Amino acid sequence: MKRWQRAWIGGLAVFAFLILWEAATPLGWVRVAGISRPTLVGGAFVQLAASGEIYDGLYISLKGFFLGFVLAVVIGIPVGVVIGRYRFLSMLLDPLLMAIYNMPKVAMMPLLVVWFGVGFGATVAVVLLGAVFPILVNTAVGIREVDPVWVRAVRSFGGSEWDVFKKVLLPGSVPPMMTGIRLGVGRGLLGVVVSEMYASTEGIGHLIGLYGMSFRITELIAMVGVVSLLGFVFADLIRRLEVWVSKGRAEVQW
Amino acid sequence: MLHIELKQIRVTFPQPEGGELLAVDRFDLQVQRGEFVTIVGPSGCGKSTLLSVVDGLVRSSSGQVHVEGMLVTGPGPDRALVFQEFALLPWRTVEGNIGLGLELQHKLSSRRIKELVLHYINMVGLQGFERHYPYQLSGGMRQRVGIARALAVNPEILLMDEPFAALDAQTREIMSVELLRIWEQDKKTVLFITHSIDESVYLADRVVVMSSRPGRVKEIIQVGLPRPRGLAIKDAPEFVRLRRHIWDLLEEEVRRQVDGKEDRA
Ligand SMILES: Nc1ncnc2c1ncn2[C@@H]1O[C@H](COP(=O)(O)OP(=O)(O)OP(=O)(O)O)[C@@H](O)[C@H]1O
Ligand SMILES: [Mg+2]
Repeated sequence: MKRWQRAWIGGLAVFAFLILWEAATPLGWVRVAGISRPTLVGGAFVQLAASGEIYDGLYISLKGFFLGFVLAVVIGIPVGVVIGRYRFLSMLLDPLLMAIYNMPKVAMMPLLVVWFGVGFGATVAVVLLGAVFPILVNTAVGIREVDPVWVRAVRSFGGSEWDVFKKVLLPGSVPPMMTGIRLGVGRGLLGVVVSEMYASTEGIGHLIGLYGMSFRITELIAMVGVVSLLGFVFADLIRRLEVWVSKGRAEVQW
Repeated sequence: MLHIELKQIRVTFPQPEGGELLAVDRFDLQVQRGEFVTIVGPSGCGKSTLLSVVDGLVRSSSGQVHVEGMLVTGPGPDRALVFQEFALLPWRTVEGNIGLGLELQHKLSSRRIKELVLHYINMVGLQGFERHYPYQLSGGMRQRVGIARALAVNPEILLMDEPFAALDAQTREIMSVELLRIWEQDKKTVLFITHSIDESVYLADRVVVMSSRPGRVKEIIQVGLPRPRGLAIKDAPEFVRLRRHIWDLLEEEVRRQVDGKEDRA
């Protein structure tokens, strides 16, 4: 099936959902104060965009997200590679990592505020904490699953451990690594919103918290929409990155 | 002139349930420079293991391999291995895979590598597939990539582990004729593993018949057939006699292997 056909069918469901939502209040199913209406939300969105409120919030949130996420990649991939490659390290660290991996990082929010203060620092920290473990663990899994015969091929032609790393381990573990990155983006986004709601005076998360507390449902939903749009855009970017990388561009040339 | 010398090679592998598996034991072989030696033996008798030891990928538990009098301690540019499982990198194209060995030697410019790669692509008949990925190739084509990759580094010793196993009977014969043609040009020293008795006799100066595991030399058969050889030589009485003889040796070994299993059961 062609891509536009698929988009069309998927769009149908979105459209139906919007109609039901719009009709819910006039039909008397719920009160408008509870769920608002798509037309109102659209209007609020335009207004918030025009006043610059969205951009200011988005700028702060994205700054925290990217800083934390880049740190997570920079730490998670090398550490994951090393743990995946050396059995002793993985035996040593696996139980500890698994314990931290499965712990909801947002539970550490109060602690992070104590350490990094209210605001930007805590946001970066929670994004980093949320994203680094899925990236690290999945990279390690990817390295372990690399076909040993590829390693033997590189070794056979005189390749060093460094050659093995850049010509086989890194490109060979890309699919699980990308899974880790995708999970990391989700957790990082969650981290930004929670951190800003709980411990910040700026950013999209803070605005969501603010409109929530003052029961301005329409603006609240518009802001939530901004976050879910962000998630959608990131997911799409990662899908493109995966396609690009799987075409053999993953090998490091240096 | 003596090129490769294997002295009392013994290889053991640790087993998952503990204990050790003796894969190769007391294996002796001397190979002259420019000699074409084929190795046949029952499945699992340690042929691939032996080739890995000569390549330097696997350390023998005891015994040594010398190449030109030098002790082998690891892989070297004088030897190249064609893997039984192809071992192509799936994210590299045909070109990229054939160039791998040259790239790892860090000696040539990427332009020069490209030229050489094209030369070997032509040699193994893969013109038009330069930009294909391994998954887009047939088994036989993949193996030709593996062969070209080994030839491209211009090694003095070519180690080939069942390189024609994935080919149909016809292509297989054509490839063995091709291999001999390539070999006649610069007479590399070749160690060639095969399951085909026909192939072993057709290609070889000498055929090494291995015992079932642990792999030892059961018998070494001198093949005196004249070179260059055409396929018609397979009908010569001497060829038929050698084939028969090797067949008998292998049958004995396979029987022993099967009987041994029954004893244990
Ligand atoms: N890396 C390894 N670890 C443990 N055991 C191994 C390893 N490599 C080979 N073996 C074992 O050593 C024995 C010989 O294996 P090898 O691959 O050398 O046989 P082969 O003669 O090449 O067989 P085939 O003709 O089927 O290719 C087998 O029993 C195999 O299970
Ligand atoms: Mg084998």
